[in-house]
Amino acid sequence: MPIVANNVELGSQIDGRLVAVVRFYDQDGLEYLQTFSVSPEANVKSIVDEHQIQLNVTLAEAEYMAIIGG
Amino acid sequence: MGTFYVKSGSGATERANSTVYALGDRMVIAPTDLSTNYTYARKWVWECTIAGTSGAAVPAWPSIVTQDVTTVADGSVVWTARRPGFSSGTTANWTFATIHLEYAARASAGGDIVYVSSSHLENSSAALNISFNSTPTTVTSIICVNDSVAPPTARATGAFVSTLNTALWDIMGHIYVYGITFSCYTGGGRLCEAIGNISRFESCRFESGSTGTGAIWTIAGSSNKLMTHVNCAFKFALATHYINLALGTLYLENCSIDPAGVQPTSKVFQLAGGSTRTVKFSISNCDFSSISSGCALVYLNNVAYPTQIVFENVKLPALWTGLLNSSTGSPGSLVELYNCDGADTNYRYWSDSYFGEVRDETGIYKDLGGGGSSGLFNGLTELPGLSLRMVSDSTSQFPTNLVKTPAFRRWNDVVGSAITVTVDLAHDAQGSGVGGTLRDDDCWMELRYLGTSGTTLGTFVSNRMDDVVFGTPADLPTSGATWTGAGAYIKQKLSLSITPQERGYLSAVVCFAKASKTIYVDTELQVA
Repeated sequence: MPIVANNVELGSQIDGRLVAVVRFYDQDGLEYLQTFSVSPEANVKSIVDEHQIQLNVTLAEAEYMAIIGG
Repeated sequence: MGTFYVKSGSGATERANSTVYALGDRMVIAPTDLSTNYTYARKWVWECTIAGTSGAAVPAWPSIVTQDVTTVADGSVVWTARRPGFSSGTTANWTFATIHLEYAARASAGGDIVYVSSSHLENSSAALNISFNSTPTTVTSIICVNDSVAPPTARATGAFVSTLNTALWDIMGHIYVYGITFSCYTGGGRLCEAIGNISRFESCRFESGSTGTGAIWTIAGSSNKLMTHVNCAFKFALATHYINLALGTLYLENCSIDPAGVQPTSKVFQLAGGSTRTVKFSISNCDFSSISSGCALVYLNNVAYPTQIVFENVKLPALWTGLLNSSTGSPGSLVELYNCDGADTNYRYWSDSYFGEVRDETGIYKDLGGGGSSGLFNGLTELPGLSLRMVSDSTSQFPTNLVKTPAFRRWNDVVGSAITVTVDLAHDAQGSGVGGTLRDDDCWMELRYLGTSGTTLGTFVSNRMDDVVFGTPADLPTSGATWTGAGAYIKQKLSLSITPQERGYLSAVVCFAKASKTIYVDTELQVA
């Protein structure tokens, strides 16, 4: 099921970086958790968008494997 | 123990039909020669002992060959069998080396040594399947050496073995390999595919010799493996290339992703799905600093069996934004990262399980003097101001689906007297209790200590709500500790009173079962 929403929480760290806690939600409301670090100047939204694209690919592959029994 | 020599420039050539051969010429049978008994003929280097012209077709190869005795008539040429690397008897001579590693593999037996010249350059157009006849207790050694003398006296690096054949390439056997570069093609390569293989590769390189998506190396293809790579490098030719892990127990030590190759952008390691499983995978002291800044370290195929993966002291890109695990994995899987970073830090911790993640946290932490000294975490760091952030997934559930910290360990000398072991927590009303306090079915401590005198038998206690079905959850006690960055957060603690009966380690694990929540755990195991 494709991701339809996400929620991002950012926390500052001693090294100046931010830790992002991202909860993605698919159209069934299932949650997928990811965390990653970024520099304060980073475009967090673009990184989250990229992760969402990758997650969609992963979920599609998993769905396919489940269907074919792999 | 026998020895065998491999060198592409030895002077031996692949036999050809209707060709003039002079006395002393050496040949090996061509890889395309699959005539009767070709597997026996490949084991030998054949010296022309009667000059002439080879036949218009391959000769009849014998099934029983004796070194320096067996001859083969081939047109007007007569060939005499020489052991690869020996002009006769035990006289070592590089000009009698075979030119294909696969032939030496066939010739050798368990416990033998195969010397490969550092100038060896082999690009096979035929499908490769190199299988060494070894056993778990008679491991074959394949050593890249300096070929200035025979027998060689110094190991080297630089030998290169590759295939341009699109078929899958297997390298199998119980083997120790030093200094050789292996390059796979579009079909990919598998190391130690056979069941039960034990292998150790040192100072070797594993390259993708094609930009085809399949040009990747699989480490261990069947069950019951023990594979170790030390000082090895992996070089990719496509951004989506990765190292595929299949089965067994695998160790990578001092290895690297070659910065000269195309850098992976998707993942460094993938664990195959289906019926394959990697039991344990340890990656220590490896340099992955050249990978794409957004590249994930691990992709656990969604149907993979549970596995445990530990990264320790690994160098990552300076501004790495990648994921530790870019898939959901499976219940029971755990990926941990100790002290891995692109910066000069020494406190990184990150774990990813099916139920959530635990990471080092330096923005929210218990203050020094707040009842203990924060920052001590199993000797990992002495950074003042460190906690662990526990983030649960929606799959977390009491009492089975838990996010867990690594064990907090502390040596205890108190015997026969009660002590209280405490871990502090802070959170933004993430619990199930009144006002969002954590209850003992949301979060608890599991503590192991030596509670029986005169025995090594340990004792396990927990402050979890004991009776899962009929019990009534209770709020965890509040804590007077002060925290930085936690403002109006609720401060609570996990405490257990115990009476150790033997000196030894206290080992505590904090468990978190409340779905889709975040809490912060002080890293110090307080004892009073």
